[in-house]
Amino acid sequence: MNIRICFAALAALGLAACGNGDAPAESDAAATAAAPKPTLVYTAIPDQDARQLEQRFAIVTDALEESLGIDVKYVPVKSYAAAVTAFVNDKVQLAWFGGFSGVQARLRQPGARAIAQGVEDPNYRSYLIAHHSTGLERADELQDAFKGKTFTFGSKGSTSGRLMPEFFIRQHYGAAPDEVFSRVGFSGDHSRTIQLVQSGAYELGVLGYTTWESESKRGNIDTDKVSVVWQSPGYPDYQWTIRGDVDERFGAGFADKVQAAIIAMDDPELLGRFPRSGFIPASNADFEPIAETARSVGLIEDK
Amino acid sequence: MRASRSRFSLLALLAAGLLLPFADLAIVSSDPGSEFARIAAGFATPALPEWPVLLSALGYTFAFGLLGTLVAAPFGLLMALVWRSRAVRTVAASIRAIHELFWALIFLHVFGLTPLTGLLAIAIPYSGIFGKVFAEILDEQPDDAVRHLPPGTSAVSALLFVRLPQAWPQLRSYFFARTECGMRSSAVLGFVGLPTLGYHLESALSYGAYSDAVVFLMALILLIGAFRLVVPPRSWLVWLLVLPWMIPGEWGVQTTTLVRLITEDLWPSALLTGDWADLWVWFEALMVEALLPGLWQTILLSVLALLATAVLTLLIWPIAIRMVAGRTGQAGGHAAFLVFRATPEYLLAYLFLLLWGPSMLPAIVALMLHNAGIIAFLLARTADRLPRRLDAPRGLRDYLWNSLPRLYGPFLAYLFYRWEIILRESSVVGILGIATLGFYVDSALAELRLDKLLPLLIGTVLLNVAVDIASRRLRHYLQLDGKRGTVSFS
Repeated sequence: MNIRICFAALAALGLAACGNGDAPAESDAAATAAAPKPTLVYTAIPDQDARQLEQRFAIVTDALEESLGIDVKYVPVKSYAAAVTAFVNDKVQLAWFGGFSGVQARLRQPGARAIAQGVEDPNYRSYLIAHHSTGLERADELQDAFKGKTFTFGSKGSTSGRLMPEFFIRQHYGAAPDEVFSRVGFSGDHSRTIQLVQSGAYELGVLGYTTWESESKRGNIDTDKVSVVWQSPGYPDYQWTIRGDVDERFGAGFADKVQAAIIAMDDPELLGRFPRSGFIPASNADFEPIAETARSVGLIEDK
Repeated sequence: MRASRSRFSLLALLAAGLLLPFADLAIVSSDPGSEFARIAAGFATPALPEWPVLLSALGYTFAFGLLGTLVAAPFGLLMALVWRSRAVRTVAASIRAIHELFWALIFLHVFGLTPLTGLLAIAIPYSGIFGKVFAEILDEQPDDAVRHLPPGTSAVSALLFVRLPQAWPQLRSYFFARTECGMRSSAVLGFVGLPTLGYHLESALSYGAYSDAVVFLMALILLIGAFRLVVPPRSWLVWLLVLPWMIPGEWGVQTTTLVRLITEDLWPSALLTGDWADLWVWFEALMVEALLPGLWQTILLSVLALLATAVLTLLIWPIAIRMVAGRTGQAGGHAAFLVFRATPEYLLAYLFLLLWGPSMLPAIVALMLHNAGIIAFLLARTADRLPRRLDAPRGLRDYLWNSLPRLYGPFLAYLFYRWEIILRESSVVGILGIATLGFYVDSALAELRLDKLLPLLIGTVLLNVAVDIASRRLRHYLQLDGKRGTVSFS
């Protein structure tokens, strides 16, 4: 009987524990302002190891709270599509999207604006990586030796891990990826692509170069087992996108304020975790090439 | 008649031999040994996560599992009571044909990460399953008692006061077995984003944090093994009332996405504009690129997994028969079966995929282990209860000349019952990257190409119905329609 009570208490405690996340934020809000200010909720595409994302956005949350003077909350999601849906459903008002997920979100939430991007993002690149057993060397072109190998993309909704590499592959080989490679998989995200190629589960993989650079700096890559064999041409990628209706809810000029706050972020610790050297303004038109590419490979239906 | 059963078995094995060349059974990973070493090392050194994290995952798993099953049971019973209606049977067949992970993906899209998503993802398919099994239990009841009712007794009275009470013990025991499945399903929903044990399992496994993963895995096996002991069934009604208030998050949902899905997103643009030529192009592309290959791979995987299950069952089942293995051997056999039974096949498939890389092999092995564990457990239990002569042989001789021939019929019957379940799982492991229907369903949702969703789901449902009919016909043909002990694990 004691055990039963214990378990019931544990279950109750467990559920209470997951509620804790919201509780302090709410009581803080109530304490600091007589009229409760709305909380700005944001998310990001889960493009790499979830624990690293949590650390990254904990710092971003602090920085945004400080410069905007309101409560800010980061909500993690498990898939790219979930990030888009949360944005469209107004579960979040701001998001750090990839090029393609940003296009998807803005198509579904008219009025949504791309407001900022990393300094590196207008000229973002994909890396194609190979397991050492393939004996492949780095070259400037997609190689014929890639044909018939096993190959993994990142997430199905990724720009640098799927859309753009698929476009370049189709353009170069004149065939769909599953015709070029003997086996095509979707690892789920960039960190995982590195893991899968490093472990030999796939011979080749493709990912956004920033994840490779940061994992490499952290010493998480075994360079005896996996290396970069091709770098793609540049294209526009990640950006901060904000909903079109935030000014009505948070006050006139709010979107511009958020834009300014992001561009002003200069904490090296924060920037290092993206990693980006800084943030610059962005506009919806910057990502038109991505939308066109998505249409051309059939990831957006012509409507 | 026995002859036709053995002939059928040989034919089935032959068919499997013919199908094998079509299946992709490669070990793709170039270095499975070192990954296995990392998994083993991780599992040997469990790292306890922070208590609030573990407890909240346990709490959510328990809450969604119990709530989903409790809510589904009455709906299932209602459907079982009007099982004569073809419409009801069709609805039940359709909602259970779609796996809880598919429901979860759909509701995640529509409602986002809310408690309602977790509840509906389990309650909807479980209602369909309850409906079918409850109807079968009611149908199997002897009608002696009903025939002795005075003339003029209304059908409703007969049902309420005779048929239901008569079937109650079996309905109850099935319901309890099903709550165990509920816990397992609830944990697996974490793989697509609900905050249950599977969420942390997936995160840990996918980044090679095997020391963290093993703790969540053990927590799941403990939960499944112990929740009925520590949370007694008589308290469940209280939990049903209390849990909804304890799950954090709002139950209210926005319907914008739902409306948009139904009015716009589900339909191809060619249909909305009425461009029939374009609609044909869209449909043909969908058929050739997704639906037909998905259907074929799903059928292939399910048939191969079913036959692998049959072979493994025949090999491991004797381990848990007392007359064959003795008391100690039997205990060991049951313990091994329990581990395979308790571990969700989806999770097993995930683990084997890590080891061997993406082919059909990990899925076949996962489905085989899980299902053989269940069928071997049921058969060994039946074998122990067979009346035997005092001078009956022991050991392998008992198995080959006594238990096996006497229980070959039930063995085939269990396999046919599992086929539908294996089929559901075959399509859902596609989410992990094997090109069955689940792969295309997941792609449609991940790429937000929702116009592809409906045809894929309809294809899934029709395939389930076809397998259900085929399994029933074969059971009938092989004269396996007799009584079975109604114990099903998902």
